[in-house]
Formats: sequence, structure tokens, C-alpha cells
Amino acid sequence: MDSSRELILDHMKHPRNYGALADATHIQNEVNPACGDEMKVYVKISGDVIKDISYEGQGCSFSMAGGSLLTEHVKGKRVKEVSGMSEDDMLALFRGPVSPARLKCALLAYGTLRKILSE
Amino acid sequence: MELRADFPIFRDSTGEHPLVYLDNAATTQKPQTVINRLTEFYAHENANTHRGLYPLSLVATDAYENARVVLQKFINAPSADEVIFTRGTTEGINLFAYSWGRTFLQAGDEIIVTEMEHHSNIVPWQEAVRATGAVLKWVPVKDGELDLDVYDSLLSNKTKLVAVGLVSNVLGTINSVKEITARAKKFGALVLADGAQAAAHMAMDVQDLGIDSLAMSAHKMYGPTGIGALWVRGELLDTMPAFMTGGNMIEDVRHDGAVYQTRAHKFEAGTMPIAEVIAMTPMIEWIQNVGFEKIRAIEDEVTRYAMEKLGAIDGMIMYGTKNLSHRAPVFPFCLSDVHPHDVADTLGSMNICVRAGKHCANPLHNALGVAATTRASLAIYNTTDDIDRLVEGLNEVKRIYE
Repeated sequence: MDSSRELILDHMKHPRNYGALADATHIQNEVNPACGDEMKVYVKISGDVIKDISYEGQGCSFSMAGGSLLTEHVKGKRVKEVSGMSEDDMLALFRGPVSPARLKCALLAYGTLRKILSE
Repeated sequence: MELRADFPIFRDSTGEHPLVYLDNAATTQKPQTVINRLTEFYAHENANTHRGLYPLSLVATDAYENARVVLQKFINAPSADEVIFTRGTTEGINLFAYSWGRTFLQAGDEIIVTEMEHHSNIVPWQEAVRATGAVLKWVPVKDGELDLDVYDSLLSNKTKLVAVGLVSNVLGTINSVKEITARAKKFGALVLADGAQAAAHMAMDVQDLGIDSLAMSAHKMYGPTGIGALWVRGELLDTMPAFMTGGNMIEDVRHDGAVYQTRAHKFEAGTMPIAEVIAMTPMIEWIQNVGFEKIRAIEDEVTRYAMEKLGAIDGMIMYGTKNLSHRAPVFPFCLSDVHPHDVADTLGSMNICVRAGKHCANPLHNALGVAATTRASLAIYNTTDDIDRLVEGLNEVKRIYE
């Protein structure tokens, strides 16, 4: 198995930042109607910093690992910096090619977080 | 298997992971004779049909109209001019829903659909009722089959149409459309059958079924994409206004109006996919050379094998009726908690082609209470070896994800 696949499986089986965040300042739900994947992102923003972030949901390895990889990547970063994150930046977190069929899954958590940050 | 040799895609697939194609409910592979016919037409016979006075056009027109007769006989339609060529099942049902639906439906009329329909046999009716004030009623699914007791309770003098698939694209259920039609007729309702998933597996005799309309797609029965047919009972077809207008379907156009052709030709506007229509002739010849009796026997044997082998996998949840006489070779399943996308992706890496998701049947998945399923669907060229490879693949999925 290649390293990207191992990374995804690791984050799927041992998700980081999984579960509700009691003192979240922002919560956002998203679904991917095509496959039924569900994503809920909790963020605690203090000043201009993402102090804490978590996610819950159900779906395939790419959508669930995406939540884990994204939350790990952005925690503690400035809102401005995270707002500037592109889709390609998100896909780069998977450290390997994401096939077109899995793009929506891979970007589900990212899209959910963007909704919060664009408010 | 000698039949498999007719399909070049398998002949050309060798190496470590030869192709295991189990997505036949999405589209089937094509035999060499169908592929050859497309090429021959473009290489040697290409001309537009109808009204060409030169030999090349006459030959093309003859071949085009001959395909209509071949199709007429295939479904035992009373007359060839009742067979309209369409882009496929979806276009056929839309044609009926627009032309008949918007002309004859009135507020308060009812259309009955079933929970196991493909979106293409749901959404055109949703649009038709939205436009007319008619109402959509749903037959639920119980243990993988239509609940005909509920169906009976839905039927009334308000019922104008029953739209039902001959075979479910997800569950593989062979619906008793003859019985469903007989009951609808007691209330004077029309019946449109979606034949997309049945055409490759069983004979469809429109007169025996007693239905009023049948839609089908060539690409799901070993033929080309982009072509199919809608059969409509002649007297009914005569009452239906044109769906699309333009070239070909015209008798005469004046400044103040136009006169249209009749029957099927009225519904074939513009230049049709001529090569694809003509290639439907060898498609049907190929099916008839094998024969539905043999097709059913071969597919039944592999179906039995698949049900047994897949059912024995730990963590396997299979959907659909266990009554194999009511079942075409389509197997939707969930494997433990592994998401169907991950199942299909992993199988794909082993060159095993299955589909994952809702298969254009969201209402059915909602009724089943699952977000998505993985679906393996068979055709005549699939073997027990293919099922063994699938089982190997699923064991690999379990090894990775569990």
C-alpha cells in the first residue's frame, strides 16, 4: 500500500479532533447528497485565532480522513491564514493524488469550514 | 465461455488483473458485431436518412427503418410505427410525461410510481404533476418486492397512470408488471413500464403484459449508447402531441403553421443517431441467437453461486428478495461498516468494476435506511470465476478497512 493510502487509513481509523466541541463559537453542518456523507465542524475562534476545532460525521475514508487532516492542520492557526487555504492546499494534505471520483469527499470538511470562515 | 469471446473488451484484457466487469446495470459491454456495424456504417454507408433520392441515403433509410421492425418484433409490438427511437429510457419517459402528461393530466388526477424506481421513472412524473396539479402516489417496498396490497389501496378512478420498472436497477426485483397492469386496467389507468433493466435478461412482450408504453435503452442490452426506444400503443400515440419539433418530423411547413408526420416519425425530430439505430439490429440478433432461455439459465446459475458466496462473507448485508425466480442478477450490499465508496475504490484497484452510491434511486435507499450500497450487476458473459474474484476483492477490502 502506498504512503498516501496508509495516511488516509490511519486518519480514518484513528481520527484526530473527533467529537463535539462544548465551547464552540461556530458550528456548521454539510452533507454530500450524492453519497450521503455527513460532516459537522465545530470551531472555537478567539480573537483572530482558531483556538480549537473538531468534527463529527459519517462517510467514506476520504471524507472522514479529510476532517481529521484538516482539523489537525488548521488548529492554532490565524483565521486569515486558514481563509487563504485553497482546494489544492487541502488536497495536498492527503500527500498523494486524489482521483476525480473522490474529490467531493476529500473536500467535504474543507467546504464546511469555509462556510464558517466566510461568515 | 464461448459467448464471452464475442466481446473484444475481455479478449484484450489480460495481465495480472484481467477485467472483471460487474457494472452491467449501468451499461453492458458490446459484442464485436455491434461495434463492426457502427464502423461499417460510417466507413461505407454514411448518409442522412429519409428523403434522400440517391442510393446511399436510400440504403441508410432502409437499414434505419429495418431496425424499427426488428425492435417491433423483439417486444412483440402490433406495429412498427409505434416504436419511437429515443436517446434512451430517460428520454422515452420524458417524452411520454411531457406529451401525454401535460395534455391529459388534470388537477386531482393521480399517478402511481414505486419506491424502487430509478430517478428517470420518478422525476419526469414529479415534473408532470407539478405542471398539472395531479398527485403522485408511491407503492412501498417490502422484503425487496413491491407491496401490492398497498398498490391495491392506491388504485382508484383518479388513477390515470401507473409507472413501474420491469426490473429494479438496485434490488434486481422482477416486478409482476402483468399483474400490476391487470389491476390498473380495472380502473382504466394507463401503464408505462421501464424496461431498461429487463431488456438484457428477459423477453418483454408488450401485448402479453397488456401495458400501454415501454421505454428501453440499447446500451444496457449490449448495444450502443445514446439510443433506445419508446413504444406507445398506436391509438394512444395518435392522441399525443409532438414532443420536440423541427426537421424530419414535418410533413409541411407554411407561414402560418405546420403539418406533422404521424406515429413514431412525429416524435423523431432532427437527424437521429443513425449509426446507433442501425447497430441495434445486430444487437438484437446477438441476443436472439443466444436466446432468453439460455440467457436466463446461465445468469441463474451465476446468481445462485453469487448469492451463496457473497452471503457467506462475514459482515455481509445483502438486500433484495431471496426468491430467485423474482430476481434478475443484480446484487446490492453493504460490507460491515466499510463505506461503499471505499469498497468500490478498492475493488477498482484490482480491476473489479462495481458501482457504489445510491444508483439513481434515492427514495429506495431512504426506504432501505442506508445512505449508500455497493452494487454488483451481472450480464451473460459473467462467470463464477468473476464471482470468485469479487469475493477475493471483498476479503481484501475487509483486510484493509476492518
